[in-house]
Amino acid sequence: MQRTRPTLRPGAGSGSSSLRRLAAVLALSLAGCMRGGTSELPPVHVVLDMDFQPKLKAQAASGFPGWPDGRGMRLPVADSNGRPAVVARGTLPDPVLANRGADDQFVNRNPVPPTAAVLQRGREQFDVHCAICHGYSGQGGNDPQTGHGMTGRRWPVKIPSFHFATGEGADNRVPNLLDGELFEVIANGKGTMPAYGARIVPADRWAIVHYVRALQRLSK
Amino acid sequence: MTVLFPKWTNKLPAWLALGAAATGLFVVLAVNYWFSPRHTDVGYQPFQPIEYSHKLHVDLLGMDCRYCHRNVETGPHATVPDADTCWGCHAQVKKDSKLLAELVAKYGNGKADNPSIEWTKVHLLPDFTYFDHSVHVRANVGCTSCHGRVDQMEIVRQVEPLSMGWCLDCHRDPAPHVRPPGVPATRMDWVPTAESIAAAQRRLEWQGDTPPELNPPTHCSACHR
Repeated sequence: MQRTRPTLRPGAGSGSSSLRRLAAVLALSLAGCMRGGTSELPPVHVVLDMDFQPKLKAQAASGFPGWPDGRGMRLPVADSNGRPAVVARGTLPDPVLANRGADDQFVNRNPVPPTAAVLQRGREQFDVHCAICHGYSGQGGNDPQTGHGMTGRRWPVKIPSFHFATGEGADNRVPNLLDGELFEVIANGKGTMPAYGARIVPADRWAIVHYVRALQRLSK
Repeated sequence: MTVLFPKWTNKLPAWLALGAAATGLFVVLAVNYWFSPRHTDVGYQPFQPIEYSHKLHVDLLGMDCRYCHRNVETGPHATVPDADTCWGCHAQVKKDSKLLAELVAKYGNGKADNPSIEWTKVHLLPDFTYFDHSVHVRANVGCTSCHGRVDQMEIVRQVEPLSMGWCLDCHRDPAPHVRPPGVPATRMDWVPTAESIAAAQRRLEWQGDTPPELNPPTHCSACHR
C-alpha cells in the first residue's frame, strides 16, 4: 500500500508566510497579554491573602452531605404536612398589613396611609414589576398597536386594564376589585399573571394598590 | 604580561548597572500593568448555564434590573433569580423557544423541588470584603457605575477592576456617580452632568450646621470586619 505524501498547503514553510505566521502568533500572544480582552477563566489572584475562605456565602452551593439539594441557603424547616414550621427573622406576617379581615373577607381599605413617599414607592414598584405587562399607565391590552405593556404588544397574552371603561358591555370587573383583592392578586397571581408574593413585600403591595388607585383617578 | 582584564571590561560595571536599572524598571512596570486588577479581573466573562441575554431583556424589552435582582434595595446582595422568576413570564411568552427547552432540561420549570439555576458569579470580591448593595442603591449610585452597560451585554462581563483602590477612588470623590433623586439607579443610559455633580457635591458637604446627607466611609471597617 502506497502512502500518499501529505500535500503541503501552498506557501506553507515559505519565508514570507512563516514570518507572517510568526507575526500573527506574536500579535495574538501580545493581545492576550494586554488589557481589554475577555476571558472565561476566573481572575488570577496574584496574592491569595484570605480571598477564598471556606464559609457559606449567599446563594452559593454547599457540599454538606446532609443537604442533598446542595443549596447553601436553606428553606424554612417544614412540618409533617410540608408547610413551613418556623418563620425566618423579619418575615412574620404583620396583622396590620393583612388583606383579609377577621371574617376572612377582603378588606376594602388600604391599611397604609397614602403619603407622597408611599405613592412614590408604589410607582417605583409598579414600574419595575407591573409595567412590563400592564403598561406604565395601567391600561394593559395585547394589541401590537394599542397595547400598553411590552408583553402585550409582542405576545397575545390577555392583560386587563385597571381603568374604568364606559359604553355598551363595558367590563369593569378589574377596576372594581377591592383593595384587598388587588393585594391578593399581586401576592398570589391570577390567570396568566404569576405570583409576586415572594418578590414584593406586603407594605410595597399596598403601596402599589395606592398607586393603581391614583392611576385610576387620573383617567376618571 | 597577561592582561587579566581586557580594556572593554572598564565599561562593564556601567553596562551592568544600566541593565539592572532597565530590568528593575521593567519589573516595576510589568507588575504595575499585569498584576493590576485592571488586567487580572477586568474582562472576566464566564459562560452561564443558560444563554440569558441582558441586552434582549433590558435594552430591547425595557425590563428593570430589580425585576430579577430583587433584594438589591434591601440586602447586601443583588440576588440572582430562580427559575420561578423566568417561568413567571415564560409560561406565556416564547414557550417554544429552543433556549427555554434548555432551561427545562437542566432546571425544570420552576417547581419548588427543581434544582437551582447554577449561575456563575461574575463580580467577585475577596471573602474578607463585605460589600452592601442596599446602601449604594439608597445613595442612588447607579448600577452602571460598577457593572457598566449590562444592558448592552449578551453575556455579562466585568468592566471595572473592583479593587480596593478603585472603591476608594469613588468613596473619596463620589459626586460623578451619585444620581439626582429623580433618576433611578437602574437607568442604564444616564451619564453625569455638571449640574448633577454639583448637586451631589452639595449633598456631600456640611450645609451650615447640618451634617452631610451622604458620607461615604473610607475607614477599614466600612468593608472589612
